[in-house]
Amino acid sequence: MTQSSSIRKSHTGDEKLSSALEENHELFVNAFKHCSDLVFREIEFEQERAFLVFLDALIKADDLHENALKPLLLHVKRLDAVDETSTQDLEQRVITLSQVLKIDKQQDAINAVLDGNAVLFLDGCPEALILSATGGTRRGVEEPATEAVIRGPREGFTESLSVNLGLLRFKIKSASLKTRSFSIGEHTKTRVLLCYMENLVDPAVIEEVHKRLERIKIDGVLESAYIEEFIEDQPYSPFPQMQYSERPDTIAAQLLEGRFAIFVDGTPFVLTGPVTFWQFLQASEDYYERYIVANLLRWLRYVFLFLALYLPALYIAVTTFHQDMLPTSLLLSVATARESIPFPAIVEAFIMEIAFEALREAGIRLPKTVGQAVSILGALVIGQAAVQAGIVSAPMVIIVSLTGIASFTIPRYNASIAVRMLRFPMMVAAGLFGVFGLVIATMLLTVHLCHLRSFGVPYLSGITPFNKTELKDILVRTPWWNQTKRPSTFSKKNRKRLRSLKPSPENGSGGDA
Amino acid sequence: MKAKRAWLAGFLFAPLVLAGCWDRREINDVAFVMATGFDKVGDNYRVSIQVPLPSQLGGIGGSGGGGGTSGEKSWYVESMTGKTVREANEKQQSSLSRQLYYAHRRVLLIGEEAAREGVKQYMDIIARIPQNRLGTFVMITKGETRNVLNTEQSIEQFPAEMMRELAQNSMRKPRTAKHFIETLLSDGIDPIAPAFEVAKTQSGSGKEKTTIKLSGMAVFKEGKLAGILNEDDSKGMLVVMNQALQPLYVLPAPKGKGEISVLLQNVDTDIHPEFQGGKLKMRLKIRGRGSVLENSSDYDMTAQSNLEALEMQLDLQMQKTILHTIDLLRKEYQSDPIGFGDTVYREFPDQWKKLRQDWQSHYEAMSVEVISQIHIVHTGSINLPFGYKEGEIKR
Repeated sequence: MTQSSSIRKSHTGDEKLSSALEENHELFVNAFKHCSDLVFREIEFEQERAFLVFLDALIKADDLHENALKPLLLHVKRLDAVDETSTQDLEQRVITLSQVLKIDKQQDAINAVLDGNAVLFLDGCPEALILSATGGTRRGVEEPATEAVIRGPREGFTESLSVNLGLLRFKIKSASLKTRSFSIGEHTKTRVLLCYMENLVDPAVIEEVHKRLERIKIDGVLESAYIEEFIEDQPYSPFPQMQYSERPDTIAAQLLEGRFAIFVDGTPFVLTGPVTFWQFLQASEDYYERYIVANLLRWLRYVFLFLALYLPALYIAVTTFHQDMLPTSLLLSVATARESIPFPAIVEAFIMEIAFEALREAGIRLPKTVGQAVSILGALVIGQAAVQAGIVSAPMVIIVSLTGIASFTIPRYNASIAVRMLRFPMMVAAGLFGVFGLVIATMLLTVHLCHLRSFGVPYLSGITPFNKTELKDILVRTPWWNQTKRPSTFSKKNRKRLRSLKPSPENGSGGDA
Repeated sequence: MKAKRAWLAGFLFAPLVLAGCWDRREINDVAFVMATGFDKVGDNYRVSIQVPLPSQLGGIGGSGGGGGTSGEKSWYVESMTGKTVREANEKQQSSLSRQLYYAHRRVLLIGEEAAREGVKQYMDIIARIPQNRLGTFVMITKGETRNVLNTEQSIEQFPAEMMRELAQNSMRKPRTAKHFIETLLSDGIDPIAPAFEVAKTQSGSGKEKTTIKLSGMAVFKEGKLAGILNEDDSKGMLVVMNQALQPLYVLPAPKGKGEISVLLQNVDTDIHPEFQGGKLKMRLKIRGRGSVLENSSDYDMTAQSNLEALEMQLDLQMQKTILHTIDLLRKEYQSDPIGFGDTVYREFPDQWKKLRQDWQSHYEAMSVEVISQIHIVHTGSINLPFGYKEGEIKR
């Protein structure tokens, strides 16, 4: 199964290749009708004829020229006799490409061409040679745009699967890093890799994922989200049940904790699972900065997660039902600000929240130069003019902006948008029943979160079901020398990560202290 | 099956939503009662409430709207009479477009006249309805409460707020309604409440202005106002109750002429009841530290013996004033706000059972000993009296 080359053999489509060169030529002409980028390169030896076939844009022309065409044309004068051994002869003695594979099925030949290989046919030979000279232009390795860090590796995944796998292999130099290959998508035939550390992962989870991946029947996979939606446990939940990242270090860390990763060709976003809720509040920098600061920041995120979910709802509840909950002077300030506002608090909150969401939505897709104009417009119009016109109150603007900031503090975007969305039902509940409504909504939410599973792992693992060692990376981030065990929810076997090696002047310099 | 369950869920959810908002109350539709005043008019109660006018409070949103009826004032006082307090409230509500809301009431005023007839019925209102805060301060006003509520003072936004702040600064643990009710219902202790009055002040420009003044402590006897102590007596009482914040004593210098002001800090009073030959005796031990804030005399305190003489002077004055206060309380007002009865009950529960029948006579007859030990620890950053030549200073 461990097949990391870009050549693959299909197991379906059993029609054999013909030994007649014309018939094979015909096969490609028929299969690629109206495909102007298909190239046939005819070769003539002294007696035999041959041709190469490939798709123009997917080939690295230099490679093919130097390592296949040149040796073929310069060194081969005459093939001894065309039979089964002649392809082997070519493979072993003539062609200097590193990856060459012999095939004898029609479908394999077509797939190979589609994958960006050249296929060499010899007249009179029922086998063909796949010459791997995959090229095509792909984006280079850049800093990930969505997961910037101050301290930490700056490289990010690209759209090329082999580059991505390479980036991961640079991090984890271990033969137990396994990669199972799948081809998903009837038309796109997207390569999908399931990666895991064989000695750390729970084998049952891998078998389950394998099964789920094999069941996917779809005509195209353009992004890892396609895969995610097919294999998650609870499709109706607003909460993400897989994490994605475009950082090789994040993916490596996940693999080392006993999770699996799914690489999809054509996207820099790699999926990982199983996940817990807490993972979405952990940023990669938590582990790269000093742990005391990391703890503070992590708690800041927890507080702001609460605010992002509840603040507008709480404001509505308090101002329309529980005015006794505010200190008198604060209440009077709010009352003064709200005096000339024509809307009830809940309507006001909805106006502002929706305006803010629209502003954010508008900002995401606009070109950067226009985006600034939008933000100025939004800040001025909504932030100030609306208040001065007496349409929304100033406290509401503060609440909405604080909530907006709070939702940005959640490091994982997919969790952040889930919270952003859940804010609205919370606001409705608060508008209907005040704090009672909030409590009921919170209970429903908690029940849902407790019920949620990600590949068999409870979503709130660590807190419930409770696990003391896992708290070391949930409520706090203890220093690395203290995290001696891997999280048991993911890694069933081989849980020992390290011996406690608390540094100090005494046991700093070697020795087995 | 699935469709059925969805329907069922929908039906169960619908009544929830339909019933929602039933007690929704926007902030703009509520009149926050900041203070209530109770007076008696014949058999009827006169109830005055003070509500803030948010449109007059300023702020960006408020400046445009508004158009209040009461000129520039940021509050409004509404006063009505009724057979009960609630009836009066009901009448007020009928002339107020906003719903009266008592949860933010922080001040409860009782007019002096009404308080002399008894305060218990007002406490009933507070204790009965949970919207009322037990953290409200109970206060007595000299004269009708609405006069005080209507006083224009320049410091705080509302007169009620002014009174609240004054009451808060009047003692260590300000007496809230909860505490007031507790002492009202306890044996051997009577409640106290700060008393306020309208006072005239001169502003800097010489224009006469009104303000609200804390004029002493009101003491009660059996749930009725017994009297209002003046400032000195209030100070003495609070010192004994361990409630004085930082009492200032002004005493004549032991030698020479002029006055010395001493501020007491960490004053701690212990009350020890004891029986001497069957007769009740109270020993009050007052300890504390003091610092000299001002020396307008020609007395030199640098020498230890002189400082001790000053301490002696202070102790004597405290003993004198406190004894006077206690005598005033037990003889004239027959009120026990310090809780001497309570200390007897705590120390000698058996004897208390006998004494409580005619506690008043024992209270009046008991002997009181005041032992004051104030240690002056700071004399300030200048040692000698200021502005005197070497020979003029009394050593």
